[in-house]
Amino acid sequence: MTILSSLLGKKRKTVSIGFCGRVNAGKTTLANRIAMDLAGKKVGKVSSIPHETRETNKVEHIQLQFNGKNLDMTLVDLPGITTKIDYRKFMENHGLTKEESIQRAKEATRGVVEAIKMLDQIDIALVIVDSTKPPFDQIDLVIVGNLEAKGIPIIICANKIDLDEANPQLVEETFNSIHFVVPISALTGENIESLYKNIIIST
Amino acid sequence: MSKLDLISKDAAQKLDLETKFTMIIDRVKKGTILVLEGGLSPEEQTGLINRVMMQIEFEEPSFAGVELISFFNDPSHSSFWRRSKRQLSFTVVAPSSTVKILRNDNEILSLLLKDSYPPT
Repeated sequence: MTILSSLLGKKRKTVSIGFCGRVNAGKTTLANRIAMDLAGKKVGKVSSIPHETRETNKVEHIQLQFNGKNLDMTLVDLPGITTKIDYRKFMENHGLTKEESIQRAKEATRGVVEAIKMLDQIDIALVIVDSTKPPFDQIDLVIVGNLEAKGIPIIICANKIDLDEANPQLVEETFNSIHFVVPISALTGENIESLYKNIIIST
Repeated sequence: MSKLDLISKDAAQKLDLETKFTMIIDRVKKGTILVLEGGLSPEEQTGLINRVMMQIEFEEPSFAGVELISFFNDPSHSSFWRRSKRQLSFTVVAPSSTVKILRNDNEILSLLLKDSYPPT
């Protein structure tokens, strides 16, 4: 630390926290939960229709204070990553018109490309895994593999533990030997303190 | 009728990345299921996903993307992730319109083939 910075006091560290994962894993719900909890703000809109987040949303200067440490965070909510987008599913399953469906699918394809690009630009990755589904999805492995190759710290968030069918233990067994795994409900905020603790540890 | 091509590790290694992606996407768009011996690394898979997204079509008959599954060859370790990192065995790339994954738990990969793509 320089003399000047010593005189001005400790410079607060700023880190970008990326919310990564499959489509509809709960990325935006978790980003909103943290932003609301710490700053009374929302990051993005949530919907049951897949690919609601089609552009990266950022909220800056979210202050996390935990165990005497301060962290200045930029929350970066990424579009969901997938290997397939069929516009007809929006019509069949969600009642969108053909025009709306095609538009949503086009934007979603661009969102996936953007999300992959953004994996390079985050300091800590929260990989949101839907713990009501088997954690062997290729997308989770691809995301984690890429982040590891870039040396980015990873916290696996085993989300949706508020649901009866959730199996966060399986997510822990799958990833726990390598990365922090935090069972969490983005919807209710259950176990959010444990996530904060792990974010602080990861910085 | 569906077609399955097995690409040997030697054949895949001879291709530069762009040629490999082009070869994969061209075949999958024609309805072929590809099995790549030696598999694709996570970085190669994101590169492939990028290119797949750019190829998705919005007019009938449309290409809606791929199913991408990697398999690993040492089921003895307790940690799925640990073995997946180190023991990549092969990667399956299939047209999502033709194939439905029935089971994929790294012990059995079970695929249901549909006859809806490509149209005859």
